[in-house]
Amino acid sequence: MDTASSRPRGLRLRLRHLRDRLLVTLCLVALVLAVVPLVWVLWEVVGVGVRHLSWEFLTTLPRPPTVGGGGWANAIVGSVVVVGMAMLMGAPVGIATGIYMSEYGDNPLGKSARFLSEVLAGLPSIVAGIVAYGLIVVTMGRFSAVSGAVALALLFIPIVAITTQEALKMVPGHQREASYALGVSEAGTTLSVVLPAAMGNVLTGIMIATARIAGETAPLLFTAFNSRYWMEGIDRPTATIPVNIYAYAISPFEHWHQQAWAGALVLLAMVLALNAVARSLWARRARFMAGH
Amino acid sequence: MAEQMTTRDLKVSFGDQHAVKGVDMEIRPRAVTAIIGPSGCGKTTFLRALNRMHDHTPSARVSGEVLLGDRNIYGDGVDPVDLRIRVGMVFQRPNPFPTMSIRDNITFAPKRHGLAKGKALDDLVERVLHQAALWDEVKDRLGASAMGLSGGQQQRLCIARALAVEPQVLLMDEPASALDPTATQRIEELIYDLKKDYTIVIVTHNMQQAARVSDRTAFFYMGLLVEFGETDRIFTNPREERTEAYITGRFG
Repeated sequence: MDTASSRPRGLRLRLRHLRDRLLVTLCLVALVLAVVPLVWVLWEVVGVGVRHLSWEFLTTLPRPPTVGGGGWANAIVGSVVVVGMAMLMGAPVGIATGIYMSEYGDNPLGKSARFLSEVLAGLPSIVAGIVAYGLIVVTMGRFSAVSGAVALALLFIPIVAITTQEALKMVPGHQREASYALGVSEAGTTLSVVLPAAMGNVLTGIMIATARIAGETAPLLFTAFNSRYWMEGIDRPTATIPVNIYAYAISPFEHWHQQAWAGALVLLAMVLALNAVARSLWARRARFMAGH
Repeated sequence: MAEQMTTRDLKVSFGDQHAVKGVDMEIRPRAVTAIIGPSGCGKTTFLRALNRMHDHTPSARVSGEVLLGDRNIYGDGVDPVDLRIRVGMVFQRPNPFPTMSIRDNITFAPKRHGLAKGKALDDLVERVLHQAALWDEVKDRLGASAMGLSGGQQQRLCIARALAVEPQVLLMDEPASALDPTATQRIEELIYDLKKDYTIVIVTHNMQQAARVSDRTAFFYMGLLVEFGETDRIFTNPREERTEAYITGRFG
């Protein structure tokens, strides 16, 4: 072998291997940096939350800090109602917008809808709260669960619209053509062929958006506000878990801090449970679509 | 039931690209017409103009006439959705609806069009599955996912699905090119049986296939219909030099 030419080549090869390794190592470090805080947050919330979680916490109303005890039952119900209403308002609008953008959006209206959805998806959540405050709280003259739901729906809609659009775009064109070729209209094709085929990803989008709004605090501060009592109606101030966490965490009482941890755990569990239910409902359909 | 189709100076372009450049062709009822030609010769574009599939491609422009019987399908007052009930299509790759069962794939369109319901719908499912030579293989699992079928079975299901809306013309765009030889043979036998009742146009890359299944063959080249005649004559005694060059494998 000609050493004069092989040595630099060997060196180059070694350098290339080294660079390769370095890159993989950097990626691994980045991965660890990203995952560690996540695992740590989960660990902390579950570890500390579980210690202060009790039947009383889940089923009774709050008590004054000087008395001790009490629970967040009203806030748990409030969160379910406010987030549920936001989903009921937001999902149809978001899905319909996504359908328009994907299937009929090759025009200026579709382009502006896409642009606005992307901007709104990055909307600071407190701004959504201000909008709902101006629109509903001021008009009604009081804080209410419904105004909180509107604020959350404002955050929910653009996420669902964008993920629905992406989900529909992933349905292959030959599925649409198969339907057109049978004399089915565009609208019929969209609703009966394209949307069902994309439903798994549409659902994922809804879950992501739900997880996002379930933990939102800022938009609820001056819309749903808070309450120490059971919900009296969707037109009344309502306690929610995130606002309670905020209020309890900044209080000077150790006993309240502990309840805030338990509340955080309940919120986390609710989001995960919703996710698990949606996924298991979908799993059968997905297996069917895979031919089983 | 089967209708004749006639094209007059049919042109299709996408932007400034002219894919079909003025084709006059008579497609006989109750016969198989094969369209052959090298890639990019406009044969699929031509086929898709026969049931207005180009309506869904914004850049596509179609001019000239396509007559179904004696009515221009591009004329005023023709609804492309209605037209496609009469002119069905089978695609290159089997494309059953993944969210639907075998049965639902077939009943989807007839139910929407109000063609049958109840017992009549069950009869329709059985009849078209028999026509597509698939009944014996799927009769015990009509509720199962269509995606669990083999590629060849899926394609026969797609043919059954197309037949379920009772079309007069069946367009087939390389219906066997994604299938293995056994499945291909079954599809070819099926085409042979179906021509008793339908007008069939099949685009194919496979010249043996064209020779086996078709009564008449059209050779397309660069967007033009170069030669059109009885299949036997085209393959044994082509008049055009380009046709001969293509069928003897000198280009394409």
